[in-house]
Amino acid sequence: MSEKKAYIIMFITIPLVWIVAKEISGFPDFLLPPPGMVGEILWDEYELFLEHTWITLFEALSGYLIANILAISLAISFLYIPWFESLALPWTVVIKNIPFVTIASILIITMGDTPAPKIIIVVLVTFFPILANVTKGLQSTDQVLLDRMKTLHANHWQVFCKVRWPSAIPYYIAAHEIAFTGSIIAAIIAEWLFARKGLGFLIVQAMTQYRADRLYAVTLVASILAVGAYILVKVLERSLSRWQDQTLT
Amino acid sequence: MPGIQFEKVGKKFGQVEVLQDVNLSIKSSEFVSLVGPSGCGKTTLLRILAGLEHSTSGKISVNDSSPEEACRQHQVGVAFQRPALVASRTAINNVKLTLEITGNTNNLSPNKLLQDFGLGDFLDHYPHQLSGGMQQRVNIASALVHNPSILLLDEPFGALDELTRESMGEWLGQVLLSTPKTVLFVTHSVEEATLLSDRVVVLSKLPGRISDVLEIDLPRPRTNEVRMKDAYLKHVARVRKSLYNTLI
Repeated sequence: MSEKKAYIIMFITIPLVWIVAKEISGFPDFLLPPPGMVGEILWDEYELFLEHTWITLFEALSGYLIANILAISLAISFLYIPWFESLALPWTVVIKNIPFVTIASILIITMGDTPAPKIIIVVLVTFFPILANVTKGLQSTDQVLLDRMKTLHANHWQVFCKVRWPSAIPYYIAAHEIAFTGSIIAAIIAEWLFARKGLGFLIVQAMTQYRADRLYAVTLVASILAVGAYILVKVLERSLSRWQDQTLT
Repeated sequence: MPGIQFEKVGKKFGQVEVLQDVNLSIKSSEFVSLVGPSGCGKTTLLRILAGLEHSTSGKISVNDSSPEEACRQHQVGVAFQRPALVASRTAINNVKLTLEITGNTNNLSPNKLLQDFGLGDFLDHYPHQLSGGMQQRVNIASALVHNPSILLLDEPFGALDELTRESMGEWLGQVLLSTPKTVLFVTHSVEEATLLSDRVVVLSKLPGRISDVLEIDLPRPRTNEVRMKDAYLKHVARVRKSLYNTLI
């Protein structure tokens, strides 16, 4: 079965399972709203959802862009300045292993309700998978290709652009699969801790107001964003790795 | 003096002496094969010539320059045992990669080269879509396209099956007839070395020293038909005997 068909089946199955679960459980609408009710609130309050979704998306994408720039720059510097990798290793281990919820709390106390702490959280969550994969990709270039470049007297820039970076692309795309989706989740969690805007804020607001319909609507929007991010990465992967899909004719 | 000269070349890796007092002169447009027991330093000698390793002692001259200078001037083409191809580039773009790096204008046409190599229908195929023999032909085309005067081949057919290997050997002989090069060819195959070479150099076991140099005076072109001829078989026997002597 193709991946596309499997997705279609899943999207049809979810509301069906939802309806069946509601019927079997017997939960009232204010605890488990039916899909129609969630659709209705999305329709009625679409301006509100759109506004908060944009805020979350802005934080996720800004953080993700910064994480990419930082991680790629660092991976390149690890390649050409090997001692720098040894120097940076303890820092990356420590920062990676501090629970980001605690860092988020510190950032929120320090920076207040601005986009900055949320963006930093997104950077912290998404930076490490990109760094690890790009570093590995750049460093695992086939030695025989590097020898070929050396015998042709290629300069560092040529070796990087024509051999090392193309070798790293599959690793880089694999990192996106984890990190791009993670950027949206990280932005929502950061907002959930403290914010007055964004999908995370809507979750907190819906919880305190006991608005299950709005909670389910936010979940739906957040899921669509995360799945959309994943699909976008897959499309990117296909277009960049078209050469891998072609079969012998 | 054009060609390649080794004078008392030695190479140590730590305490291990891999090459010792290698003296060899290869004339311009001459095809010389290097045979010897496994681990005798054949590939090391080729890598020194390609500027990938430095000798510990002695002097190497490639067209009157150091190996590094010859590489800088793009006078050297190297094909390794494992094809050095970029997986995300098609066959034609892998050959063009050499020209993108060297910027040589006195080059052969990548398109025509691959056509001549029998890959006209596979220009836009990616390496994983090509057979081992085809990949190796792209590899050799990549080493030849900038028209170097020196061609270094490190067991380019080592990973191929017997039949493909024989046809590739014949094919390489024909290619070099039309575009003569000074060739140093590292191989484990006595038959391949005899078919292609003007001279076969036999290296002794570690530390590698030249134990014998054998002239192969068979007329060219040498097709696979030659493999059945007595003169060829006698040369094969001579090379093999010399190789066996290195093991004593």
